[in-house]
Amino acid sequence: MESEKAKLLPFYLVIDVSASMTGDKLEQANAIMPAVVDALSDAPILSDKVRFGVIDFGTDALVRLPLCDLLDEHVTLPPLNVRGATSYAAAFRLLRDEIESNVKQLKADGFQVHRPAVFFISDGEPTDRDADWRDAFRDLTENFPTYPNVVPCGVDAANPKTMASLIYPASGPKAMQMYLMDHGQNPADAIAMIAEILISSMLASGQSMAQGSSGLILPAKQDLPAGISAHSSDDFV
Amino acid sequence: MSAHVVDLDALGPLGALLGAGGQAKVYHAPHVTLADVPGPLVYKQYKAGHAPPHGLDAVVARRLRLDERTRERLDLMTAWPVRAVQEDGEVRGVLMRLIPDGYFQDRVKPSGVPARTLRELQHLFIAPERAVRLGMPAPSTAERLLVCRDLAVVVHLLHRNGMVIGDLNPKNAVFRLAARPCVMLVDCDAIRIKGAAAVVRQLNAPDWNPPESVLSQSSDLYKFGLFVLRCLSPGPFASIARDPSRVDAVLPGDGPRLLRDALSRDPGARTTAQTWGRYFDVTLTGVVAPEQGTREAERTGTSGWRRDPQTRRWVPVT
Repeated sequence: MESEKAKLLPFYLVIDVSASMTGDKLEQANAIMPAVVDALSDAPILSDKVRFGVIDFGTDALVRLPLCDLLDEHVTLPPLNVRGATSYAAAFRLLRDEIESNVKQLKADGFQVHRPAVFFISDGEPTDRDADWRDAFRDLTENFPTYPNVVPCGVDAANPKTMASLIYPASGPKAMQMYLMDHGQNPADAIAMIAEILISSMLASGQSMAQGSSGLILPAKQDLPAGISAHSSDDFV
Repeated sequence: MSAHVVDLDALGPLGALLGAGGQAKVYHAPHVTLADVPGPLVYKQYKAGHAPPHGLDAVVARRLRLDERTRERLDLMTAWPVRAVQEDGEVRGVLMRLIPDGYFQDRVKPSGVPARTLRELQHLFIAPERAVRLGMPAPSTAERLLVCRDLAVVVHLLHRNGMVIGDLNPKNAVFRLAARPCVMLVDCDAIRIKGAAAVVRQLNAPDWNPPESVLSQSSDLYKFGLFVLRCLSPGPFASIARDPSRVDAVLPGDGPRLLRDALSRDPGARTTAQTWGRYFDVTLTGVVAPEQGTREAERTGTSGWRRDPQTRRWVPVT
């Protein structure tokens, strides 16, 4: 009988659109959403499992695609454009607000909600004060019961140590990972590869979401595209 | 080397990579032909650590022991492992039939990229207008009943020959609407012979788990019931639906009762594939076919198999 409520996994892409993303990198960033839609169209019952949303950030952060069923006919994919600096703090604060209200909404609509998943893509160092973005990150994670699983993805000038500090949870049985572009790799290509990882993670997570199993599944290290490597939080000290 | 095992060297140069999953890669094997298999073949190579232990031999051998007529039917309805492939004395993969073109849909993805997509059962569960928007077919109710009927025939063929499908799920069977038969089971890795262990661990796909923990022909029947339910009530969250009342208005006659029996917690009470097949035949043609049982027996040609307790060999059930 239909006693079980449907369970949804909210999946967020949070992406850097600071000035340094201009050019090929932005072009690849804009290719991510259509690629995710194509992948879902090949596995359309995942719409019964996964919701997808996009936040971009530069000087400020904006919800570009509110959490949605990507295969819904009314969804329009927004173009990403660069704007200014790199405020991690703005991104984390907006993400926290979004998660809070999205999860509340989904529950009010009668769904069970899995812990949200976040792919955070950046190509550089935060431009806000260290204490600012670290506080905002703590409010998104440690100080937030609905904290998301955070998978940072660094390309180009992203600092591995900074990115490593954004892995959440950083340890324990449900520890996440981060993905870093290998040295000498083309950053635009690296963004395309990260999109591949995001998609395979979304498919695997959606397909495995049954009773008992929960949360985010990341691809096995041997299945990663060449040019990207996975790291855990203690790889950079 | 026995008749059901071939050496990797003997396959000749492999063709294009057709697909890669978590456990295996599938290549064209354009230089291999087998007298007992219709059409082109593919080679499925298991990834290191995923190579099935023995058990695969038995599944291959099981097909070769079928009478010709039954084997032909099996080959039409499944991508059965037709030979085990070994390298340095170890089984590395299997040869299977290439899935015929008719089970693929030429379409354009939402981004505008052309694609050739396998028509997996999952495409039957989504809202018809969405399927059309994604470039997939939106079958009528009559066509859906036909797909149900043909899947029932596949399940029945395997069951009466002593097989357990195990992991019947929305990705491992494909359908076509243009020509008969309409359904083909494409991933037979989880199949086991009743009374023996599975080749690879038999798992339940999410949302397809039966109430009991052991997978058997009865759990296949439960999953078949879920398929009927979901195929005939497409739309949002159909892929996880378990409430049989969703299709009360769609299934005529005995259908609603058969579906409730299929989803029963009592494994012994579940509607058999043969009963489903008859029901769909009647529903589709409006004619009761009393000779169905005989006709079915003729087509499958054998009444079933069991292990001889002394010799451990498979012997026909008499």
